[in-house]
Amino acid sequence: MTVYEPTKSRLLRLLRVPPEPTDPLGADGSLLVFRAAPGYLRYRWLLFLLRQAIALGGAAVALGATVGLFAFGPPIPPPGETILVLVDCAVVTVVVVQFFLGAFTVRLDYEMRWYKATDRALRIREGVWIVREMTMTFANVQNLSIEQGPLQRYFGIADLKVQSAGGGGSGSDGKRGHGVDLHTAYFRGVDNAEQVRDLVYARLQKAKDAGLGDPDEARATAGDDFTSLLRELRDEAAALRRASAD
Amino acid sequence: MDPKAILAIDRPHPRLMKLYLVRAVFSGPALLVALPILWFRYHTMRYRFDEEGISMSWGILFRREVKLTYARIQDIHLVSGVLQRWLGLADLHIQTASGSATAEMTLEGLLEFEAVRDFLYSRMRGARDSAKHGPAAAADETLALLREIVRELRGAREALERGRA
Repeated sequence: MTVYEPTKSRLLRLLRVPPEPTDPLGADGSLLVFRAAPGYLRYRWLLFLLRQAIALGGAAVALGATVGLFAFGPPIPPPGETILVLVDCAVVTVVVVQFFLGAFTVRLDYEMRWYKATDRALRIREGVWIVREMTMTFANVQNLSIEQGPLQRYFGIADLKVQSAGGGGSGSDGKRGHGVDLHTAYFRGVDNAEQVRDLVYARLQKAKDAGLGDPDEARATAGDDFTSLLRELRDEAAALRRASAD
Repeated sequence: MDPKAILAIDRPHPRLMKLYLVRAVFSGPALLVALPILWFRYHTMRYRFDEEGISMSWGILFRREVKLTYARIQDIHLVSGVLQRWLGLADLHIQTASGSATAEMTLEGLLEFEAVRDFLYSRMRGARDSAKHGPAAAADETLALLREIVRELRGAREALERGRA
């Protein structure tokens, strides 16, 4: 892949893809950076080739139909023939161009992915054409799940899904959501999803007021102290009443 | 970037109008409808950052104003397409826990989007150590007050018993 590196840097510059995202705030030394596993790249290649096979099949059918028409069909009046040839040329060009562009994007998309976590927050960056950077604090995380399909299992990867509170609607009004549920973050294609899950979960538990609700619910965490003090207060008040009744 | 500079932001950058123009051109025949809408949207768009939250308003016939507090922000998305990056812009989608899957507020046309993102991030829930201030501090204060009440009651009882004796 000798052409790859120069083309990559040129494309990144042309598309103005920003470099690695800055780290979210957190305690020093708590930063962990996860990347998509090599299996994810293979998985994406497979999906890409499947899609390309379909596109190629479509193009072959279109070309075959034209050739068949020329060979066995009735004669076509002059402009029609040229138009048909032009259309076929356009189809071939589109198929070729999107193949190379798509192949590049698969590789770039794999390389331009970062999943960062500190003790307070996580930041996920993905995308090449549309760059999406998401920041979520652990205090706002509601639930974690691992998703794995049969193909992903074959490649030894899984997606870790992190959700914050709020509607999981399809975003069907689609105005600003780009068809993406903004309350959900994905660690896509990691090969140690369970480990990452446990780690995120551990940090989640440390965020004492995690989940939805007003922060003053944290008062309950004063728990034992609070109850024992109240008990003492009651005993003292009772003693005072006894003393005054004597 | 200095938070004061962010608190002072009240208008999107003029490049946003350029972006709108290009988008309107790409919308083809809808240009005639899209362009005036976007033009008014750009010219009526106002931001106000204060100590508690942000408000954003736009619209001329149908006016809209969105206000949210920093502490209720759930997650922040920084999204940029190729066109926006060429212009040096990005969208900040801000989400609270309300029922929609789409953003509650989209800050557009900010050149200093990264600084604004970090500004919001440092003020959202869970970004700081809440053990040192906020709710935990309030709980500590409650405990201290209760201890004081216990002391006062004990003092009152002892005074009463001494008076009897």
